[in-house]
Amino acid sequence: MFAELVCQSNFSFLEGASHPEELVNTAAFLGYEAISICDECSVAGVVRAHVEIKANGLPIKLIVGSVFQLAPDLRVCLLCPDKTAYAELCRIITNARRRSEKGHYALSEWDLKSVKSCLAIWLPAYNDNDRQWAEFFAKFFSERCWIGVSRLLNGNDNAHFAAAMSLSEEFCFPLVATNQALFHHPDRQHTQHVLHAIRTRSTVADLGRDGLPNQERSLKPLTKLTRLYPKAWLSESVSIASLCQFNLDELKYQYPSELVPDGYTATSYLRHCVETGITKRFKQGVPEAIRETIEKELALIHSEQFEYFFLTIYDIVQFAKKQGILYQGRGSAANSIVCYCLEITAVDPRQINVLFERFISKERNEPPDIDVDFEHERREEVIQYIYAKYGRERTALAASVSTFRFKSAFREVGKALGLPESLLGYWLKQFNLRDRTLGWQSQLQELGIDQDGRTVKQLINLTEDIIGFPRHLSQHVGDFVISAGPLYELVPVENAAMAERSVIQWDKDDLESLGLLKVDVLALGMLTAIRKTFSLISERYQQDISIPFISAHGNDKQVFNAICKADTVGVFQIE
Amino acid sequence: MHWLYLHFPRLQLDLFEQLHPEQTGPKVVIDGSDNTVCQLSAAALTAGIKPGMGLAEVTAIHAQTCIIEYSANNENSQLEQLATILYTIASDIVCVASNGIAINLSPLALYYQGLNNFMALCKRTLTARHVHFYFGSGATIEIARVLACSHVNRVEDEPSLALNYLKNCSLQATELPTKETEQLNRIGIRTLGQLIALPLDEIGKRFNNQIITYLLALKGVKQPPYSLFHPRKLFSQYLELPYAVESAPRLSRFIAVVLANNCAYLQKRNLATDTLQFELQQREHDNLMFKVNAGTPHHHLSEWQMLIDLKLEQLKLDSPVTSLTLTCDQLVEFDPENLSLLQSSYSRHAENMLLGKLLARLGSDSVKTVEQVNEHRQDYVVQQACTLHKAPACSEANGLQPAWLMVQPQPLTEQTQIVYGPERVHTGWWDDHPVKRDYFVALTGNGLRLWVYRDDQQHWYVHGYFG
Repeated sequence: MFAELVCQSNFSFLEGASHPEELVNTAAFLGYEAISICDECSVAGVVRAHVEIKANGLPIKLIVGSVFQLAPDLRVCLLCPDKTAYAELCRIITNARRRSEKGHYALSEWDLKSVKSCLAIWLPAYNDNDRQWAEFFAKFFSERCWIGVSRLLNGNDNAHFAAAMSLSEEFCFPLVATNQALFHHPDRQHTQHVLHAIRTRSTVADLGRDGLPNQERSLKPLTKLTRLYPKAWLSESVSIASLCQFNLDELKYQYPSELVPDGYTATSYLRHCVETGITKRFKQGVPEAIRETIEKELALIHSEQFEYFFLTIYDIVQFAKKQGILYQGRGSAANSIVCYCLEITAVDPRQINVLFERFISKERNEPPDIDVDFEHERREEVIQYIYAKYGRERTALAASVSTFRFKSAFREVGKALGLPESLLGYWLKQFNLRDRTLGWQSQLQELGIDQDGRTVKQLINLTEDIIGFPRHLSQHVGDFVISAGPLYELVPVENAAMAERSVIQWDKDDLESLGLLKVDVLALGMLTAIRKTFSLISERYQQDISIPFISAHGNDKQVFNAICKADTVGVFQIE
Repeated sequence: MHWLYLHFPRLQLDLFEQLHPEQTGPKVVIDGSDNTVCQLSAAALTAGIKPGMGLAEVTAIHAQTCIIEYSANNENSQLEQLATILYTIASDIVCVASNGIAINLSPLALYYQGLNNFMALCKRTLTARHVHFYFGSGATIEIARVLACSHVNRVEDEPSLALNYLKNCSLQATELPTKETEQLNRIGIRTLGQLIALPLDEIGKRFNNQIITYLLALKGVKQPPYSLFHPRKLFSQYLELPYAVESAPRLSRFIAVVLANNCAYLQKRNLATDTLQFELQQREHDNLMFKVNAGTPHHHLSEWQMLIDLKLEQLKLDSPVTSLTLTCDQLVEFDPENLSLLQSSYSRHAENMLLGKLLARLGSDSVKTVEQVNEHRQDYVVQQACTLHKAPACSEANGLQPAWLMVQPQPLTEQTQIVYGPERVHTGWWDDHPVKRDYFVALTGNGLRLWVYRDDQQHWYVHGYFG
């Protein structure tokens, strides 16, 4: 029995050569007890692995961890046995990432010294500094440190085993077997070479001894593992896995408490705000049917505990309203009477026929969806308000994972295989990617290129392999995550390319998968145009109008007539 | 702005005199388009030769006059050399035509604490190059140019003062086309003072926009656009030979002139090169190109001269050479370590010098070196390489490397005991030589340490021996 405790997915950008989903599926297929997705100073890939295990009911435990390189000769993997350890890991990753520019990290010795709950798998460099690091781990990771031993068939395995055993004996660190897997199947070694070449901007032929010499860093069948490692080292991996009980489902999102004034609960304050809104929105008195729907919506919000979410958006739009920034709520949950009363939207629900089920569905088990568009020229004011109100520790943008698409994959793989850029550029220009009947592979043949040629075959296969591989994290256009406590205890935060912006390591799908709520603060140029139009009308005709004022007038036949005549030049959107 | 204009009236002749100090007789440069004298030496002037004279008249006055044909290429190359030299003392430089350089004095007055200091340095620099020049200054390049061409040789502290001198300059000193000058002369306008005094509106009715723009520049109202000179990131010099040279070794003394400039250029910038490119213009054949390579980048004149002489000994000319160009574009930071007197470095330097000599004599195709390639596959670790090819730095060897590696691995036939390994090499999928082998160190009964491998068919081979 075995658990792979040091395994990097392709979220160790341009290093790991398998998707997290592929790793957990293969590990489950091979009969591993557990697998730890330990990307380098990152937990960006763990949610996908977690979702895959849950979706397919895989009989394998996922351990959250991360590997770090400190100085050239210290490599250590930290695993999370519980939620406290997870918060600790997120803090360390955040600190290391925030010290460095985007895409890099700088771990300090102090970070490791501050670790109190994580388990450490130390991967010795087998050089003269090992004893010094062993003393370090003995002092700061007493009884929480193991030595990870790998048989990588580099010629020195026996010497390394002997050195590891000697360190183990002297410092009482148990030994544990690990393959330090970078891919789920040996065939992915080619992909790993290509990724390595892309990372170092060279070609696979020029990697030389820096490239992986063989395919040993893959997930291996248990029968093979028993031949490679002593049984005790394999069993130790299972013992460590049994200590790791943390599950990502335990993560609970806590909304900032300052949203609710003293003397109110979230529910009562939301009701208070809605009631205040009702008096504004329904001056003639609220119709019975509308009142019923409001009660139904409030009950559903209460049962799903989404009060804070609505209050957060309410707070943001109140700020925008005060500043005279035009905004418009949209999304399924935005088409609710509660949102209308909270002034998140301006569309009178009496004029549109919205299905209540679109609002929030218990069955769908998804968080509510409200996107708020702001004038694009003034959105930054809203963002700065959020940062000022909740602080940078508690606010960050969701990440957006940039992946290899066909063109970038084709170009980068081609370069890694040593093909001239001009030739790759020419081929790319010839492809008709809209042609659904003829794939690009066949189009390559039509260009007169021998598809059976070695390099072309490799180009096709490897391009197909790396399409969809993540390249780096960038910032999402407007998905904000705001939390009650420091955000870095929930998910690591890192620097974005844009100055003074930070992003979390998960994208919006990951947040949705874990049921974490985000607030969409989007920019819409048309709102700026509308505001400028309002100003011009006010200047010229001394008439103040607003979006709710227009909405209240209902449909305008003249508009429909214009659309029927296709007189829509300059119209941005028709719904 | 305040501009200094340096006018070089006899640039080609100055170069000729540098190359042939022994020729003291009258020398003239003849413009081939109309066979008239455009540059002449002091001796020629004394003999009674004047600029603009025809070739027949010159030979009639002094039959022994040395005649040189004017070459715009040659002058441009010379001018660029001068601009490059002046660039070390002034920043804003504009090359004008083929014989003038304008320098923006405005930032220099403060930097040199007075224009007199800068002018003294400028004169010293140009005198060291043995070139004749006149200068003038003004608010625009055009004013300074007219004053320089009128041999005013003054730099005023205030550019506006230059206008006083400008008034007395003749129209011939300006850049006005001959036709327009003659037109103006006919109506009695002979000096710039007279011309400038005329209302521009009136002039505009009779002359085109170009003339108006030029006059505005002469009045100091508007400076026409100019492009600043930036020294090239390479050294290139063209040299017109005084006579056609028939044998390659005789080119040496002419190459020495451009080589000296090249080495001075490199030394000033702490640069070095290991490749010099020469292009020889042959009178009856295509240009002949050749390279001279050194074993290591350096900038030492004597060593380059020796290598070039070696190369010239081997070089066969198809027909006499009339001019040559030296280009040096592979520049690297000079590493003084190469010339350290410490034993190890010194022997490396000697080795590099020997390599340079071999390259010069035998050519780069005939001199190879053995290099260790950064490669997992043992069959390709050691390769022959061109000496000039810079191999990528090898990462530290991963496993053991035998001292003797066999070109063709031999089947293992004797009983051995494994003492090290396995080191699995399973790579090379990208070319036609994929390898899947497990390497071991094995000990024979005789105590021989073998570098053996097992292939994927479980066959064993000996690939090398340890010392």
